[in-house]
Amino acid sequence: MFQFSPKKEMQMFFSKRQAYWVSQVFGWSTFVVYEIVNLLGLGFFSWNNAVLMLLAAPLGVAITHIYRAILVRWRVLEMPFTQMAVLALVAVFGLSTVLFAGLILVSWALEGAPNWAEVNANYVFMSILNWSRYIFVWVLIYHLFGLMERINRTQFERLASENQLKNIELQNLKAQLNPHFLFNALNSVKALTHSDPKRAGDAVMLLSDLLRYSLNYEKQTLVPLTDELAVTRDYLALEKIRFNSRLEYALDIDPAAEKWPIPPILLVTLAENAIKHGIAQSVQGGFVRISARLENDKLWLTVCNTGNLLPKSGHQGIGLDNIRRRLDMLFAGKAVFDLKNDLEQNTVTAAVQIPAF
Amino acid sequence: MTIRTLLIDDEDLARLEMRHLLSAFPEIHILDEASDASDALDKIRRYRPDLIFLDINMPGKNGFEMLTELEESPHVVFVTAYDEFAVRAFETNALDYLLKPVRPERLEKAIATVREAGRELATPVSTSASAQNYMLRRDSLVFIKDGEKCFFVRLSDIFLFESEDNYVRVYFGTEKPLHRKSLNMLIEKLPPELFFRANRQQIINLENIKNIEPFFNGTLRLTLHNGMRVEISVRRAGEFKERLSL
Repeated sequence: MFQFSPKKEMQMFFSKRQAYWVSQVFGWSTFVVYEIVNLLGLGFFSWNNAVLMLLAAPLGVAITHIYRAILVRWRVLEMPFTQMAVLALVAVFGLSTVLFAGLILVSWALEGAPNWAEVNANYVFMSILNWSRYIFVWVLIYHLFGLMERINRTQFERLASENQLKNIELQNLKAQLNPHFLFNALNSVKALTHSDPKRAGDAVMLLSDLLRYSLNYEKQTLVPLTDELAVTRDYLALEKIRFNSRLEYALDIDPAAEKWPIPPILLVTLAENAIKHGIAQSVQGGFVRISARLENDKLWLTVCNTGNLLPKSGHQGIGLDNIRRRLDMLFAGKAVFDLKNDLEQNTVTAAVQIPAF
Repeated sequence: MTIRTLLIDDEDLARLEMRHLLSAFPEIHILDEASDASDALDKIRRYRPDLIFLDINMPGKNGFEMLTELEESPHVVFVTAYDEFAVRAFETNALDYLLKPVRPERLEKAIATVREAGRELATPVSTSASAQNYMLRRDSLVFIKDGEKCFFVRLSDIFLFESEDNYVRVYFGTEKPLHRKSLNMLIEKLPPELFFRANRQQIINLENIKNIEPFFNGTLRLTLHNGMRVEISVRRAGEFKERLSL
């Protein structure tokens, strides 16, 4: 799986920080050169004007830099687009005003008090508008870069999460086919082909039914309990071939419950768990008992096996997590799943209550 | 030459299948079968087989755990249905393993390897040896499992044992895995003509000494073939000199 690392993307040429400062210096020097050429061309050049422009550049850097700090602090670049655009426009005029005010103070210091008669509302407004052209360019570029980065990042995140999803699906598929069971079953069948060919044939049929069911079950959300019971019986019969006297099993099914809809593969998964943790781990073996009955308009399914929950294996495996998740999704939290360990009886019981769909 | 073999698998049919496959090899003499680790440990100690076919996934102790309990390991061919962990452990080693269902050609190859190794392995069977008074020989195989890495190493290939906490670090080739046995327990089982206790922490292989030089206060300093240095304590120096002059 590939890792999500936006930082690496940015380090291609400049670091992000370097790029920012290069742009600042380059942008504001261009501004100075442009203004001086402009003044010269129009014949308005004076040393005072030139010095004012030279001082305007660092002032511009300072003001926009403070603006950037505010953007970062308030996470403005992560806001919805329209909200960000409105804020940016307000900022353009705000920053221009500050810049203009700053320059007034500078020229006051340089040239003495301004001629107050000339400073009317019109002059102030036009000056701010004049400065806002430059600030506008700065804000536009900065926000566009921010937006681009945001788009890149969300795309990257989406790809990463899609990738993760695919991985989970693959793992589920692998877990479903349970290679350990499959190859051991095939090995048993191979042994039977010379010792008991008829039983070998039966085992192949059981295995194909089970495989077909586990490859197709996802097409249905719910199946009648009888269907699921049929495959569970196939599965147990196969494991009986494998474990022989180490496995005893019994099913106690209330006929009234047979039509009740349940999520497919649920019972097989529970039976598999019972065998994996109860029978395969024990030298003497044990039993698996499955029962189903209707009570209070609910189906009560239990799978009970000999053995104990191991305290060391804190997680209950992918199988049981999946069951919980699927039940929650299908029955909106109304289905109950419970795993109990009876230490006196040395049994583990998985119990599921399934409401009507 | 017969290869005295023990089959270890918890499934009846898996053992039956193995028997069937092995019937094609007349030199394989199946002594017995075992269905779990403790049963297998008993039978290995009783029969001292040349070869075992060992299932990795068994109830109780698994195949690896069983092997670590043996002082000396027979030749082992692992048999497993599907076990990523096991296969990973093999990658670093020259051990053989078979996947179930077992292909006859693959089995033939595994047995050829055993046959090859077996030429140096034909040893008298010690039926009465209990775990207490049992001695290792220079060509005994020792199974060492350190984390996920597994090793079968011939005793004479080991050049140094060094105690580390309660366990022993075993040096051979370029490897130095940690063996879950104590140095004191080990020294009693090692052949004295080959191994010598140099000091409290180390046991050296006498055939692996490259150079001996006097060191401080009557101690000796040895250089091993791999360049490692070992000091012989004053208390042990006398006996060491005696051993070498013999």
